[in-house]
Amino acid sequence: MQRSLLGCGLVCAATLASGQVALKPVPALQLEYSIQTNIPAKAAGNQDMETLVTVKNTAAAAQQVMVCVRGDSRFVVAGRELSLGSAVVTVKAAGTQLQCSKETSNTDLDSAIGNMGCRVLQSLAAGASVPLRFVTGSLPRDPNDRTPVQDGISRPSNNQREGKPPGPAGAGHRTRTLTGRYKDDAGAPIKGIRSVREIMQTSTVHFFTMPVAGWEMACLSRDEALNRDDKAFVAQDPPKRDYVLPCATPRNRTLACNQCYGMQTRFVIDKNLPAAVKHSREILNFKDVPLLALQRRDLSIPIELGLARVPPIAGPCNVSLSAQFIPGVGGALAPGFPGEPGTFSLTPSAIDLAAADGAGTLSFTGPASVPSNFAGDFFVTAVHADSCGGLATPGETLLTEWIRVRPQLLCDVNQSGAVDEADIAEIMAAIGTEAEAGNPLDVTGDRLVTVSDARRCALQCAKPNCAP
Amino acid sequence: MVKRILLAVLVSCAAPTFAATLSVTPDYQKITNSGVVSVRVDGLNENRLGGYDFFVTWDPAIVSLTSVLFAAPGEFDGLGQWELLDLGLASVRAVFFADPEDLVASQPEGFVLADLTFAGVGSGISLVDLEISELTDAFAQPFGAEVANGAIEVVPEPSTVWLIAGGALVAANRVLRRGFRR
Repeated sequence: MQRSLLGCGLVCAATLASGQVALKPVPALQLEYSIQTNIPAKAAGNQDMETLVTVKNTAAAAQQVMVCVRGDSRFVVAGRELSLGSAVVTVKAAGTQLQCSKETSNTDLDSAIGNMGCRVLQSLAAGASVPLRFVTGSLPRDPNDRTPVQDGISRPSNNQREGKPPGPAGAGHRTRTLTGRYKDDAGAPIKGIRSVREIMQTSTVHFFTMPVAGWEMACLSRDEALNRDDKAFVAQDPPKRDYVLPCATPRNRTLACNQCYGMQTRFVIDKNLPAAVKHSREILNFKDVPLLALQRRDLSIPIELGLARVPPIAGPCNVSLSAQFIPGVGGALAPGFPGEPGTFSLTPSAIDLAAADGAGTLSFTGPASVPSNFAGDFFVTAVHADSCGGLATPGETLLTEWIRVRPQLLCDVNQSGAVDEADIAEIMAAIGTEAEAGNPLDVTGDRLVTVSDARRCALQCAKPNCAP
Repeated sequence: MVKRILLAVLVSCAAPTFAATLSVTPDYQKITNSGVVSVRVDGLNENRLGGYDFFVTWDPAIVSLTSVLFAAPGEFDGLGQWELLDLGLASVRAVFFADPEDLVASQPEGFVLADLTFAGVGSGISLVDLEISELTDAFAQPFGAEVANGAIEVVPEPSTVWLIAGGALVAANRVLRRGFRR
């Protein structure tokens, strides 16, 4: 009861009242938004997974808005902290063009970070809300209409495992195959390769307002959007073309070139755009890191914050961080709780975002053994501590974040409560990596993730054939 | 003679011997545009195969790996993955989901694990070598196996050969005519 009351708070109240996900303000812009990730959506052949961003114009007049989303597929290599790059808006002076570039670097390729694309709302009426769907990946279609397994996870490349710089483009990527379970469109069993587009499990959303009339947007062709290394990467392995879908409309003047998503996409917007740049802002760097799982690889969670810096912010722009722990049923890890075996800390307590993005870390310190019944949630809040050169209001909440704390069962890598093929997929993808003691990926306990771990966990599946 | 026998005994003691074999079939083939090699396992013991993880290497100047088709004898469900780790290097791995009893009862002693499709990118002979990372049986116990590698020879298409030969004839004809004029 205590948890249900404390755990909901204002966010849940708003959710319950409207029947939808509550909209959050975009700081310094007259927009509100909500973001929901990993929504299954039926599509021919495969089942698409989508991120849904709802944007509401809170201004008194219509606005032109561009929303860009990118994401990463979780399973970050232990000890390696990945940061999502920003959408870069640059002026091409010669062509009076604005280029929204979210080009993927080799590091991104290695770490399965991808661009889901941008959408331009040419005119969002005052008070209007628009849902924008971004495809984050796809899964093989299940003829029995069950929810397909999601194995969109990143496997560290050999170079990552050895702490070396990323290798040639393509390293770290894989084509996944589910044998036997799925059927193709003709009903024949799929025994072989079925390429599955990367599932982006977290999303970062960027907002731009661009009060310039008469835009034209060009969605560059696939080949143009690929850099040299990627061309070689695709040439070597044609199925990887799935990562970069062809643009259905090479030059779409309706500003709705929404087919142009993938690992590599650039958008060019023409006409009188230096003025647009002046008003465009990258407002929010929102990274959804929902889970802290003790007894597994994650004993700390990075929390990243980004802020508008166009135009430059004069003076300090401090954001204070705080975390409130809401113990779950039987939870025994609340700070100050009798018999508390460890402590959580969120550091630093404040970050100056005037010149650069910042990051905090929620970490757990304490003895190696923790109670098996721990459970609860952290509610992390970032609040503007000063006016950021007049851009913000002190006391304004920049973002809030829930971080769940759940027990870890052996082989239940994704903490779904049961072992199924999604867990096996995670173990398979991690083969070759070293594992610390107690890592659920390493059920054999030899400190190395191997195919024997995958097989042993397959024998612990809750349902026959590891069905989800 | 005694030395030879001793040497043979020493060699047999030093190198572990396995009943199972992981092999590339066919061990040699000529291709023009593309060809398929199968990786199969033979000589499995009574505990059969629960999963495998091996590396494949080839000469990237001669062929490139374009796809891997996993086989699942007995219609077993499983999960297969392959990954290009570098130029001329791929990782191929799979695990079967079936219960040990079903696997032992239904899986044959030998079968094809996967079909690897290679495309020719140059001419010459490329070795197709296997390196076992780990094999595991139906009860999740690792075991070893011998390896038998293969090779692919990429030869130009006949039409290409005729084009080259035709060009050579034309060039020779011109040289001869110049000689006669002089």
